[in-house]
Amino acid sequence: MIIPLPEERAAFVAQVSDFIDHKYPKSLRNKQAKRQEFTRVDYQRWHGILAKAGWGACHWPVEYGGTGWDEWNNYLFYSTLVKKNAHQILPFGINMLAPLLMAFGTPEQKSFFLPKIRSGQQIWCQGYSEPNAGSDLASLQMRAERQGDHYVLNGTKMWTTLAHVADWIFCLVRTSKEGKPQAGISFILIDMSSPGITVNPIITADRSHEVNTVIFDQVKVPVTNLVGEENKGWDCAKYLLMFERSSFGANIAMLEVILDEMKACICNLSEKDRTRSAFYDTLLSHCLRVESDLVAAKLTMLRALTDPDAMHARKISSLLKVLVSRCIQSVTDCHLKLYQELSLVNGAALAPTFFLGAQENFATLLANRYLNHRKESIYAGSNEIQYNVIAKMILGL
Amino acid sequence: MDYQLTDEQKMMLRSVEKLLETDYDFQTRYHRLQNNIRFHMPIWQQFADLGLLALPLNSQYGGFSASIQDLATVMAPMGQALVTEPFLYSTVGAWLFAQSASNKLQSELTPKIAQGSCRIVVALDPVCPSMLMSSHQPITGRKTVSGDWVLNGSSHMVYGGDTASHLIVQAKTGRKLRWFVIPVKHVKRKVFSLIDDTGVATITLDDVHCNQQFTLAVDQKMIVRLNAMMIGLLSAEAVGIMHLLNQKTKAYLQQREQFGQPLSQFQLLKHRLVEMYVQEELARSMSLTLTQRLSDSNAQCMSSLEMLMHMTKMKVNDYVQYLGEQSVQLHGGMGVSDEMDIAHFFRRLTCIRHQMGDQTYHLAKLSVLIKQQGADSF
Repeated sequence: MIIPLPEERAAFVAQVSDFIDHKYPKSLRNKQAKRQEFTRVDYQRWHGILAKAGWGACHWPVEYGGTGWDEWNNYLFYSTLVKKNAHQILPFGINMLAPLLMAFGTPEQKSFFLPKIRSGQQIWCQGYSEPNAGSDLASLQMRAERQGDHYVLNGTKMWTTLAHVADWIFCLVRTSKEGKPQAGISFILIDMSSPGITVNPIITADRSHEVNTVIFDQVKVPVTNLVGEENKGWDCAKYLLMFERSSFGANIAMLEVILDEMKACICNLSEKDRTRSAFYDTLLSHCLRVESDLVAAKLTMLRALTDPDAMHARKISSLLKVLVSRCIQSVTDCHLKLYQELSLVNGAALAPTFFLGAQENFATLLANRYLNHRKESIYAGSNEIQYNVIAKMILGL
Repeated sequence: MDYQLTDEQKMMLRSVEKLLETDYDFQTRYHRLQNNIRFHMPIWQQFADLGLLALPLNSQYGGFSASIQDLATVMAPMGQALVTEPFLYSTVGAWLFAQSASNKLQSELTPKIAQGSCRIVVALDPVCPSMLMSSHQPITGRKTVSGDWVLNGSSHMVYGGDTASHLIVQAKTGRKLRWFVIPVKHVKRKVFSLIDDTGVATITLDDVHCNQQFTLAVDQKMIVRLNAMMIGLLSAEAVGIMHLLNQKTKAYLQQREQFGQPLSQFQLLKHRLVEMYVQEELARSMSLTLTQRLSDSNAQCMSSLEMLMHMTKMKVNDYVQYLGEQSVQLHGGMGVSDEMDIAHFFRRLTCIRHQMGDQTYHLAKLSVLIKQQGADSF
């Protein structure tokens, strides 16, 4: 470790590791080893175990059932989950919606939703993008018309991650066409089992099913599901952006695991296979270059954790989004270089089995991982949009 | 980790900035350099009067025993003013002296260093391959019957060696490396200036006799810390310069109009400025972490310090190169004119990038460390 952890922090990490060793279900481990997709029940099971220990939403304030840990322990907790190969908790409920409800929700909304989010019982997804509203999110078209004590929703959300798994969706919808595009948007919570909702899968380049199209046809939602004021949903969306950074630590930890495995493998191979020493040396250099970018990103994230004054959350989340997405993409690309053309093979037929716990299908998964993570610089505001945000918010241009 | 400046550091920073604003503005400096004055004694005297030269010296002999973070704080304004006097090199020399010299030597020289009359710099190991230096002859030492040492050999690229009064050299004595302080009058010295107008010397030792009391108690850990400190302070200086260049470049694009509008209105150029800002922040994160790690007496693991040091210099070099080249690019013709400060900053950044090793050098060092010590996570 570049930054040696003080004793009490190291003890905390040991406590979390120990918990995972004892409490992480064997059946989920087996599933991960076989690279099977997690189901709804799997997500809920692990989240439920954490919730029972009081860690279902550890970074929340104590009054809502959080632990009251400081930012450092939150970071260490989530990165330890990754390093111990325990599945990450789905972020949409605990990281994104919950802080918004705490700030803008009614008492009824808080008492109904927050406990279910914390326990993992209720799985959420986020309905922002639409077929004609991507980077220009404020141009969104999905309508919500007030009829008595209900809104009636019509329109289409797109690229909705895990809509096929989620119980609820939070959406930005148009409640007015007056004024600036941002002015007529509202933030609404919708039960996915409401009549009139159709979820269609979108298969991505890695041939996986993560995202969906969600079609709303005359869907009735009680007005009590409006968050904040009508036509003030844009403020909610901006507020929510500040909390996206909570997943950066886990992502960085994932990349550290990959790079550590890779470096160990290269060193090991280069001793056994002298004829290719130039290849391994070049590969190691490439790995170290990628890793040094990761270290710089990590130290910047840690600086943001410890120095909130100098790097205000709202500003720093765009910067970190750019840095972390770049690192994810360069690490997943770097990983392919070790396997060379083996990483192209579909299925397990030629999968290398000589190291890394001999996980079946590993090389193929690497190629898919590379393909999959092209999304990092696209979702939640493409990196080009983040650059615009930084230019305006930080540089004042 | 705590990245915030203490009140004392803020005060020190402000007084250095004030001094340099009044007595080290770009035009005055430019004029002095036109007259070949790279070392201006009145400025050095003011550094001494402010107490800057006593920062790394031991408090028991009248110094301040400042932390490496304190020293790094001062480096940013030094870089921003493009100070050509050897502040960095004599600070590092004074630090090593304070860590390793005998009581007698410290009580004798400390007041002189603090007052500015004595300047000690270290003849560091050369980064460039010694095969490229035809006259290179590593310094060796042998003991005489009277117990004195006799030193022979040469050292290249002694930063600040042109104006030093004393040198710290390492010499191979049998199997052991020993360290000595020698007055500069005992060595042959050739003086050069670098592209950034700072000075270096090549020194040759020809049967230099050195009394036992001039040996230093330097161990391997201290050498690692010395190198890491040099890199930490160079990085801190670089971050100061990068910050200023970003401000200057943004201001220039906002003021310069082409195609009927300020250049800062073009999205491509906005994004370029953002990338420059991003790299400044990354450099700051690495620089602060290294200097903080150096000041942390609890963190004793030398191999992780070495890794951090190599990684920091490698990445800061990348950032320095990008910032320097882009500042010139966005200033157009103004960026390549010697009359404008941008070219001067670019030259200094180019020196910083190559001093203590460029990207290639540190990448190779990192590879060796990983192979020796395994692939532990950063």
